[in-house]
Parts: sequence; structure tokens; C-alpha cells
Amino acid sequence: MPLLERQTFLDELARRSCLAADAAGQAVFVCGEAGIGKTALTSAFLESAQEQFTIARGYCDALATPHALGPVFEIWSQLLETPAAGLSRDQLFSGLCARLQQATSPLAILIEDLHWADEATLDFVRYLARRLAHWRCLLIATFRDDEAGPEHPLTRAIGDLTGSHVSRLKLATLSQAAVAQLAAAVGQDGARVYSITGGNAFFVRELLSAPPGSVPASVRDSMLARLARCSADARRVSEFVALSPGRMETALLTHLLGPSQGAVDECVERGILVHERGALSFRHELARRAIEDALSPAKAQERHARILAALLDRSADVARVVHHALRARDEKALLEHAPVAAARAASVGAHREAAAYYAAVLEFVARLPLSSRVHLYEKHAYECYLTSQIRDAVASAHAALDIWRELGERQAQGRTLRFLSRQHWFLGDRATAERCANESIAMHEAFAPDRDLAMAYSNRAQLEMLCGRVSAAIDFGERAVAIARELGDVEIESHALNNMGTARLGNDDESGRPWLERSLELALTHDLHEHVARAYVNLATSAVRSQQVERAERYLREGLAYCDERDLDSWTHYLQSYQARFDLDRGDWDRAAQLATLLVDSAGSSAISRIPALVVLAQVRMRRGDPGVTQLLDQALDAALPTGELQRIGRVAAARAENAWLNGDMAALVREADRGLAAAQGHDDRWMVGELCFWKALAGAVPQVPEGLPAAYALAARGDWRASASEFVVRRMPFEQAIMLLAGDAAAIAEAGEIVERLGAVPLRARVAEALKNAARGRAENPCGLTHRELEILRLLATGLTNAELARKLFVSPKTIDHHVSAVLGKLQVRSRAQAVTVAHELGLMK
Amino acid sequence: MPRYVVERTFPEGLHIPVNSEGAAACLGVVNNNAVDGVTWVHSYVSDDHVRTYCVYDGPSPEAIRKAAARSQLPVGAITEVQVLAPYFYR
Repeated sequence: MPLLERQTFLDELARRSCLAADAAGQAVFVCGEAGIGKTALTSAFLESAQEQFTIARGYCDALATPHALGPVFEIWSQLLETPAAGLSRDQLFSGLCARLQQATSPLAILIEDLHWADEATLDFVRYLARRLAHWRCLLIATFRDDEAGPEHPLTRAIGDLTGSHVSRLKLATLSQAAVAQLAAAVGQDGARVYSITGGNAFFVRELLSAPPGSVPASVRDSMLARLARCSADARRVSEFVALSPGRMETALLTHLLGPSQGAVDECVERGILVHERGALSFRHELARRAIEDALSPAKAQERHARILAALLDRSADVARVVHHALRARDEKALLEHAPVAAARAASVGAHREAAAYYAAVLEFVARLPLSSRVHLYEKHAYECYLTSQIRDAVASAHAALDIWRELGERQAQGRTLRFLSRQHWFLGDRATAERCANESIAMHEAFAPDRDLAMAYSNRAQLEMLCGRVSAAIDFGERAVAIARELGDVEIESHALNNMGTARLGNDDESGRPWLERSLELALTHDLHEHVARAYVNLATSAVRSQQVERAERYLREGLAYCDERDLDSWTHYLQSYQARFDLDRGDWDRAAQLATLLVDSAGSSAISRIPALVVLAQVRMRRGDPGVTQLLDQALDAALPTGELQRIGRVAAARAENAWLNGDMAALVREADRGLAAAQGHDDRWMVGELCFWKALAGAVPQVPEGLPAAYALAARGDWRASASEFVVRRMPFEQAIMLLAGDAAAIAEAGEIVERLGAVPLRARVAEALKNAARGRAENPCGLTHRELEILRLLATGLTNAELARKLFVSPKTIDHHVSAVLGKLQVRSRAQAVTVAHELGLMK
Repeated sequence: MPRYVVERTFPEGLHIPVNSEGAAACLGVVNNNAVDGVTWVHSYVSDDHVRTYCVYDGPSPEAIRKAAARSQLPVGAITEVQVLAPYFYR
């Protein structure tokens, strides 16, 4: 069947292959629903390219748990002489990439069906796609986008790949005209074929080659109709092949059924099976599934058992063995092979698959002795932790804990308790996290100080740091460091120093900095990637939060470079969210919005990176007067509240308060700011409290300025616009500077106006104009030196409202009104409100 | 995709010649917009050619601004809108 309506795609592939041949490497992702013709397209293209390109192909199969790095191994063996067996994952990745990088003639790599790929293969695709832009390499990967939703590992792996060298081709169904053309060629009614198939290329082809007289309404019907016409032998062959995802070697089939050449030939003739490269397969996965699904469960299970036995005889790959063992419900085989498959998957970084393998075994684990059982639980828990399946990790860890208790292994209990402490923290259960941490320490303290005890102390230090309890964090941190130094354990030392340093720095105590920097130094020297990332994160975030501009710039730059180079994506995203906030504070709103948008749109970023990104994007929009603010702020709030963490809630509260101020809604401003201040209770975060008081003060709702706030915010809350504006200049925060200048004299307001224009802070334009007008009028009409607020209240005094009513009207406390009224009386030098009103009339102040 | 009305002010007045040069200018804007996923639907121009109200479809206000910068067009206020027509409610 000729390839219709694919010329644009073939042209695009040809264009990109030219670029690749010219050392401008390309990554092309071809996607579409099942049966739409992805393979047909890539095959047609590669056939035309095979003169110019060396081609390597890797396939992903629909195994229960895919073979870790299967396609990568396949590709290696086609491109390199040395065997891949025994190589570590890093060696595999870098070895393949070296081959691609040094290639003098162009190479094409095809990986099919990425939606079935294991995690390590996805990592490889991402790794390669990010590096090949200057190589003579064309990477083509196909996948079913209807099977890969936003939470699918594939979407997360390739969803945020950017660059002009990355492209996505989405294939569409055939049009009615195309179907009509194909149908006419075999004398069938195009309209009928189109209405049944919806233009799905495989189904069209299937239908057009179906036995005459049949009226299949689906691929399944079509396949079953073909089967029905077969001999019993051919049917049996088809059914066995259908149970084997991907393909079944003819040798294996012979092993199972004896010599079956006649039956195999019949299947091929009837268009059910394809025979190539010594194996049998269906023309399409849809066809295979149709037959697999039609088998009764009992029959399928029995056949899986037979296939399993044959595979075991032939020492087949453990991933296939486990696939059939699961479906045959063969406990013995599973217990024997699944852990092996799991360990192998874990070793190459296919942690999702490792977790799935262990989970499969756990069903039957009661048959094992305690000592084996507990190790399986522990490994499952660890793999679940790595793949963010925290609840499952906790369940298995608790099971392991019970067994260790029964076995009387205290050290092991201690280690498990420490693990549980971390997991409960991730779940937001601080109380249980602390309880486990303490129990863990108690267990280990019964023995001589060792690595386990040091780690338990450091874990506790981290908990205390996260809760803001500085002295406790340092106490436990120092204990950990002491043991770590004696043992020469650099990793634990770095971890503990980080906790201690961050605890102090988070409290604005600079004496913590040397610890954090030492932690970073140790980690860099000993190439401890995660520890380096964590150190950079803590250094950068504390600098950004306390507006230390040069430091923040440096740590963000270095940290992002380090993490990006090593694919430490979750750390990169977190740093990027702080970079966005840094840019926002400096008035660099275009950059801030760009980075924030990337983070918000990216499926791969976690809540802790998305929340600040949502807030920054909302702030850029509200400061510009652009639409789309409310939904972002609401999303951010919904995400922040369940965390219960001041960092998230306070940030969102400040942004919502700012929004309320820009909208002139003082009541909402106070409500939002108070929500943030409530979360700040018991913490010592003067920058957060300062920011929230800044907004509240603009509503006149801070009668008593708290002690110890950072200078810029304290001065602002006290109403000292000039000094506060200067402070904001030092901190390079132009937006806040402009707000302060608005409360000043005419020269200050003019300066504010310039800043507003430079930033594009459109909503403030009206305030600038109003302030200029008032300043001008004030000079002429306000000989008594009344402030705007006092003038406002003087005018309201004439209406005869009580202080309580005035307070309600202006959204401030009655005490504040008292304060203002006294000031007015003092400045006008009168003794009663009535007198004040009279004087005001005389001076022409009443409008 | 949200729809936006973008207000622009051209102090010198917006003068697009009614010839092939003008057509090229408009198509240039269309091409630039495509880079950011923004579609120019149509615009309303004041009599003195100083104010325009441009109707756009785009993914976000930031995309509208980027596209405008690409074509060197000023951006005043951006408002998200829904279409309302007299015969919607029948």
C-alpha cells in the first residue's frame, strides 16, 4: 500500500536529515495514535536515507515490565564493536554518545514505541537529545501520544526539551479522499471503509485486505475473522505468538509446538503473521492485542506457563521470563527471577521498572523465609522512594521494620526508622517524621558510634533545620560531623554541615555561611552530585530571600550550570524558580515571566518549583496590568496550603496582598497578609514578615511595627518613605522603591513616574498622576502640613461619623483614627472636631 | 486559546500604504506572530490613526508582548475578552 498524505512529513524528515548530515544534529519525535502509520513513515524515510546514513534501530516492547535499556543495548550492538555486557549505565551513555559525536559520516538512530520504554531508556533519549545539536546524528523516536498523558514518564522526559534541533511531528488520520483512493484500487467503497476505520491507516489496510464477504467493524473483528478461516494448527500458532509481546523466535515456537512450518506458512499467507529475521510477529500491535484479548484467561494462563517453561529452558532474557511468569501466575518463577530483573533495572537507573518488579514479587512473599522477605521489602521501599511513590515506600518500610523487630536486629531497625523519618516528612507528617528520627537515634546510640549513628544525627539535624529550630539543628549536626570526621566519611560530613549552615543562614545569621560553603567544597571535591546541588540550592535561595544581590547572582549562575550539565533536573527546576523570583525583584520582568512560564508549563516540575513560578508569573502580570492573574494566584494558594510550610504560604500570601493593593481592596489586602503572618508564627523569618508588613502598612494597618525587620521594610512600615526608598535602591528593588517614592514630595513622585515607565508598571501610572496632582494642590492648599490621610479624615469629620464608623469606612483600626484625629487637631491648633471642621471651611480645605 | 484586545497608541499615526508594501508589512506581522503562537484576528483604528484596538488570539499576555516586540509594535493595555454578539441568546 503506498504512503499517502505523508509527503509533508517525509519532506520535513528529509530537511532535518540534511541538517544532521551537516553536523547540526536533530531529534525528531513522531507521534500519533496506534495504527496511524508511524512505523510506515519512518521505514519509508529510512529506506530513502540508507545510502547516506548508517542506521541503528532499537525497539520497545509491551512487556509487563520492560527490559531495562533494551533498545539502547540493541543500538549499541549495531554501532560499536565492543560488547555492552557488564558496562555501567554511565559507560553505556557516554560510550554511545562518544561514538555519535566522533562520527565522520552521518548516523541515524530509530527508537520505536517510546511509550513502552523503561525509565532508563527514557533517560537516554533525553540525555542524547540534549547533546546532539552539533553532531552528525539524526534521532527519530516514535510513540503513541494517546497513551502518554501529562503524568506519563515519557511526557515528563521529553516534554520540556527545547531548541530548534528538537521537533515533534504529529501524524493525522487519512482523509476521506485518501481512503477513497486506496479503496478504489481494490474495488471497495471508500466511504464505507472510511466510516468504519475513521481513517486509521492500519485499520484501513487491514480492512482492505480482509477476506471477501466479511464485514468487520473493528480490527479485532477483522483479525478474529481471519483466524476463524485458519486450520486449528495455524490458529494455535497465532495464539502463541499473540501472547509474546513484540516477536516470538521461530526456534522458540518449534520448541513449544514441535515442527510447525506448514502452520506458520499458512499464517503468513493469510496475512496474520509476518516472518522476518528468524521470528514471527504481527503486522501491528493492535492485531496482536486483538487475538491476545480473545483468549480465555484460563487458556492464556496455561499457554503462558508453557512459554515460560520454554524460555527457562533456553535461558531467555529475565524481563521476558518475568512477563510470562506474572501472567502464568507462577510464584516460584517470579520469586526466583523478578528480584534479579529488579536489581538489574535498578543498576541502570530504571527505577520505575525496578519498583514494579519488586511489587510483583511482594504478592507471593509470604512463602519466603523472613530474612529474604525483609530484603525484598526494603528494596521495594527504596525504589518507590526514588520514583516518588512515597505511600508505597512507607508501607513496605513498615513491613520491613516489623520483620527486623521480630528478628531482633536493632541496627537494621534503626536504619529503617531513619528511612521512614524521611518518607513521612515527604508526606507532610512532621510529627511521625520526628518520632521515627528519635527512635532511630535511640537504636543506634546503643552501639559504638558508627556511620549509621552519624546519619541518624544528620537526619535529625535536617528535620530541625526544616522546622526552623536552629540550636537543635546545630546540636545534632555537630554530633554527626564529629563522628563523620573520625570515620573519614565525607558524604555525611557534607550533609551535616549543610543542615547546620542552612539553619543559621535561614535565620539571617551569617555565621552559618562558612559551614555551607565548606559543605559545598567537600561535595565538589568528592564529586557528590546531589550534595553539591543541595548546597547550591540552600546558598542561592537564602541569598535571594534576603536580597543579597551579588551573592544570589553568583550562586544561581554556578548552581544552574552545575545541575544542568549533570541532568539533575529537579534541582535545576528549583533553582530556576528562584532565578525567576530574582529577576522579578530586579525589575527584569520579561526574563522572569519567560522562566516562570517554562516552569508552569513543564509537566516535569514538582510542586515546590511550580508554586513560586505561579507566583512570579502572577506578579509580573499584576504589575503590568495584564490579565490572567486571579487563576494563577488561586492555583498557587491551593497548592501551597496543604504543604503547611511558611516558604510556600507566605510567598503566596504576599503576592495576593500585593494584588489586593493594586486593586484598591484594602480589606482583602489585610486578610491575605494576615494569612501569611499567621503561618509565620513561631518561625523567625524576618524577611517574610517584613514583606507582609510592607503591604499591610500601605493599608495603614500596622500601628505597631514589629522589632527586627530588615531596614527597608521597617522604614517603609514606619512611613519613612525617603529612607526606605534608598534602602530599596541598595537592594535593587525598583518596584518597591517606586511605591515608596509615591508617598514623597513632587521630585520623588516624578522619579517614581520614571521608574514606572521604565518597568512598564501600567497600574501605577494612575497613582503617579494622582500623587502629582495632590502634591501640586497640597502645596497650594495645605498650609497646615496635613498629610493626605489626615486631610481625608478632616473632610470626613464633617459628615459626623464616629471614630468607629470612620475606622470601618477606611478599613483601619479605631485606634489609628484616634491617632490621626489628634494629629489633625494638633496641626490645626484647635481643641474639638467641630472647631477643626470650621477652620477647614475657612481655609478652603473642604471640597 | 484566550482572546485579547490590545490597545496601542501611535503618536505619529499608523499609516499602512494600500499597496504591495502595505500588504507585505501586514503579512510580516502575521509571520512574526506565528513564532509565538499568536494570531492577529483584526484591528479597529481610530479616525486619526493614533489609537488602535487589536483583537488577538494567543496563549498568554507574555506571548502577545513578545510578538509585539518582534514586529516593533507598541503595547498599551491588554484585556482578556469573550465574544458577545446580539443574537447569542435566542
